[in-house]
Amino acid sequence: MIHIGRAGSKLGSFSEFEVKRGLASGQFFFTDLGWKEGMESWAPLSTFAEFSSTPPPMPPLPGESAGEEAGGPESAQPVGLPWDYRKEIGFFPAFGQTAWMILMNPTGAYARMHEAGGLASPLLYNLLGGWLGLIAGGIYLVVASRVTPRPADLTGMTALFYISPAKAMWELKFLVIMGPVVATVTTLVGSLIAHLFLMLAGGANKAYHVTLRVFCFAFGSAELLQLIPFCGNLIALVLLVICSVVGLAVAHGTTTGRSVAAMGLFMLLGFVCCIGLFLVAMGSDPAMMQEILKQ
Amino acid sequence: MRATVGRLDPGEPDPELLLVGGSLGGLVYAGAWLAGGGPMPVCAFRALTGCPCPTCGATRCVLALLHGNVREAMGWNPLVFAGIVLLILMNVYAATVLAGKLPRVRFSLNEMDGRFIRAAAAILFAMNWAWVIHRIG
Repeated sequence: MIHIGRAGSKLGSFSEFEVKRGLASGQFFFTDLGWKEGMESWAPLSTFAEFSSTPPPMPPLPGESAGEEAGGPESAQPVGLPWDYRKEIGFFPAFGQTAWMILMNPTGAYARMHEAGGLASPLLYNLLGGWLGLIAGGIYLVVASRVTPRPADLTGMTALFYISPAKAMWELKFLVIMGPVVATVTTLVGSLIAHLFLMLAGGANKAYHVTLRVFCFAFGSAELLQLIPFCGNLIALVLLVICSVVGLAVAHGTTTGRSVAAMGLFMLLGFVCCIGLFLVAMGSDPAMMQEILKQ
Repeated sequence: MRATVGRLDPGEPDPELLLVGGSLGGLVYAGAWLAGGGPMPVCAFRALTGCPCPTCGATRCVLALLHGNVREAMGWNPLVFAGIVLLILMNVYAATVLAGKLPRVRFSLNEMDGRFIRAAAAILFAMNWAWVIHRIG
């Protein structure tokens, strides 16, 4: 058992698993003091090897000032997101807690995100959240297409935004079957483009895989908002951008301005083209495409 | 710019595997889309403004390249063409090191390199867009 204290008062005694879960959920902080049997004195939880993804900091060399290497709150290692503890707390609770944390408190969530380790775990999260959201969005699209009357004049901008029931159904079938591939490829390509723009903005202080992790958790969480009927895709898009901006700034240790610049370029170049692809893909037919190309 | 050759550390993410996996996934995605009857992409930026976007001509560039018309492909969008060629070369490299379990090549940039690349990228981007507007717009 580990005894936890904060600001001069004891919070109680907890098992190692409970402390890990508490650190992931925000119940405990790395700056909280802990003590367990065998320790001479209380110490910050950041110095406990079992709560760190990397080995604890080395002790100072003989003759070296102890203060130089002392780990303050800023030096605490990221404890990881609840998704990293899905074996302990359960698959679905971990998934839900991570999504909630990313959407409600992206700064805190990305500060906890591991930067090292395998990519299978964040990619799995991205796949599940993305697939679920894409299917939900596809279902609402089918419903919307069936209740929307076909415009009399299907040319120009009307054609661009009109989605026929047949196209909507085709889109839904495509997303049900190909959703995992769509979610994974979208995140891989999107994060690569965003990383290149972050490099151009001078804010890419970490490797590409850190950007990929940011996008995996942002996309996997934001896409769940597509479960909200009809306006969910718009809300998901806004939250995806916000979470990505915050995530890039926190994970790369750069300014919000550089992160905004990178995502702004990303949206200008990538999103404008992608939304065109999706809008037209969902509602177009060859005659309509010819009409648009003539403009 | 400094190039180093070495093996991945245990547990280190594998960029070459991501590249090959992502490229294959992209091919499957595009193939399924077209095989299922999905339409070819159309630029909403151009539909809204009348001006081609910086990546306009990319689809025609790919189609020309698939038909072996390298010169025509280059003409539609030179930067996209260069990007596709670079992507193919990187995939060949990545597939080779993965299949042969070979050491990986890594490039590190200093601050001067970074500034030069940023300036060059901005100039190339502007020149390419001007070309695309001249060619397509």
